[in-house]
Amino acid sequence: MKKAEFLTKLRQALDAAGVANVDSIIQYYDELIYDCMEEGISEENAVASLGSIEEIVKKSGGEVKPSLSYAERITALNDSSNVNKKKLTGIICVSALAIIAVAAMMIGFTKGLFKNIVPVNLNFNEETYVATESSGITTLEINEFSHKIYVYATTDKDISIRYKIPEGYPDNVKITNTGSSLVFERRSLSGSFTMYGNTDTEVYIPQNMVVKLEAKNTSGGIVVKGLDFIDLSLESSSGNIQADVAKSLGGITMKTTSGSIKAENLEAAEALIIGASSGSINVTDVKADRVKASASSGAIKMSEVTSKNVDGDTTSGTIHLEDSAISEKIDLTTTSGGVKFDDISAEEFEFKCTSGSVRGSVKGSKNDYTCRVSTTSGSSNIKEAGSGSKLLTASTTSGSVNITFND
Amino acid sequence: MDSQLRRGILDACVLAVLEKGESYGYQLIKDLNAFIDITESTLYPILKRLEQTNMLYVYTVEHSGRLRKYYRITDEGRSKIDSLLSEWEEIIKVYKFITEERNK
Repeated sequence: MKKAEFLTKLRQALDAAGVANVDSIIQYYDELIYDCMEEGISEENAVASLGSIEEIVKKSGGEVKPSLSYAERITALNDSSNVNKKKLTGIICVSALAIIAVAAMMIGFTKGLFKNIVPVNLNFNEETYVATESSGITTLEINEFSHKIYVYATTDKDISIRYKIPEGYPDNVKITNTGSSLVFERRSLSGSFTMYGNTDTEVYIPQNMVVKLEAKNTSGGIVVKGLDFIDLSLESSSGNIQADVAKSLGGITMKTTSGSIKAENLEAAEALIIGASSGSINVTDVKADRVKASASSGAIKMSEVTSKNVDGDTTSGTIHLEDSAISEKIDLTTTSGGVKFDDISAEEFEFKCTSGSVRGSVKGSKNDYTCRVSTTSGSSNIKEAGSGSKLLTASTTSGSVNITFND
Repeated sequence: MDSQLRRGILDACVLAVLEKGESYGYQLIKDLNAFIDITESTLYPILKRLEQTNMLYVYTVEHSGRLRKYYRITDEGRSKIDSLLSEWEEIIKVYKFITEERNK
């Protein structure tokens, strides 16, 4: 199995088991696979060496979500508490030999056994780049590795970038300004170094300036706030992406693989496209020509959406859409999660899931709708199809369908 | 081995490795496997528990364009090893007592 497939399956299994700190567990295994591969082991073998997903999920049970029963929580607490003297004395007869052997080995082996992998502690120097006379700049590209990217509006007249570079590595950052495009690029450092304190990269754009922004990050997140763009594209592999109060004359794209996405108060003349494979997606108060949100194991929650079309799909997460006025079609699909909606309006609705349920409320009276409902083993509260002009299709295999109509 | 007991021993082993210098997941497993059987899935909850009880400090390092978590022992972690070792001394005493009684 490849790493991506393994991590997606692991996340699904952890979510299903109700384990807390899923992100931290995923990060832990992601790092182990990388380290294993760095030693020349193949991706498949690195994944295989971690054992089965069932085993991992079982052993992650030390931290359980508080939704467990009281008795289960007490057990979990006891499990994580330190070794208790009394209990120890009670069981020594069976285990004394083993303890002594291990203790002796430990004392004997601690000398000279360990290779010290001590990372270099680097000091970071703060730098500020000011693109003087930046009024001609129409394209801005920011490429980072792990430093979090912040993009803010400023009352200054020029674009500026505040960033940190490690002492002794002046080439770590490369900035190219052609007059029409500005590119900031962080290069990878070989070896290891620690990142203490705040090493974020901050980009300040004059509030009346409109540029095309492309921000990319590997493991760090991206935050954009309070600006207008020609086009906006934010991508990260494992970082979280957040855009709050932003407008685009073109489209807005927000993508991450394992991070989560938060989109608030956004307006795009073209499409708003959001994708997170295993993270969750949260969309509030957005206006766009069309909205597409897709995830594979993460949950999708959208509210106050104004658009022609809304398309939400995920595999194992739930999809929730509320308080939204859509002029054409709403399409919500999930496999094992449920589809939920409240106070939404459109001309056409399509709700699809396999094992989850379809439930919620749509605007208008029942007479406005023609309903096509299909369930195999679940129940449905829609008994008559009706012959209204709005088309509503709901299908699930093992879940149930429960739709109400609010005038 | 009793799971509670094994857990205490593993905690001490991880702390003992970290007492020799900071380390990261993959390296820790390699070092630990030299003297005790431990899998990746066993190590995770131990690290988490030690972090939550302030026995170790976690920080992030950029390595070849990605992130790696490093673990460093705290003073509390060091005194935990001391207290575990003194507990085991007691156990060794009891062990001697029991075996000597049986051999009489």
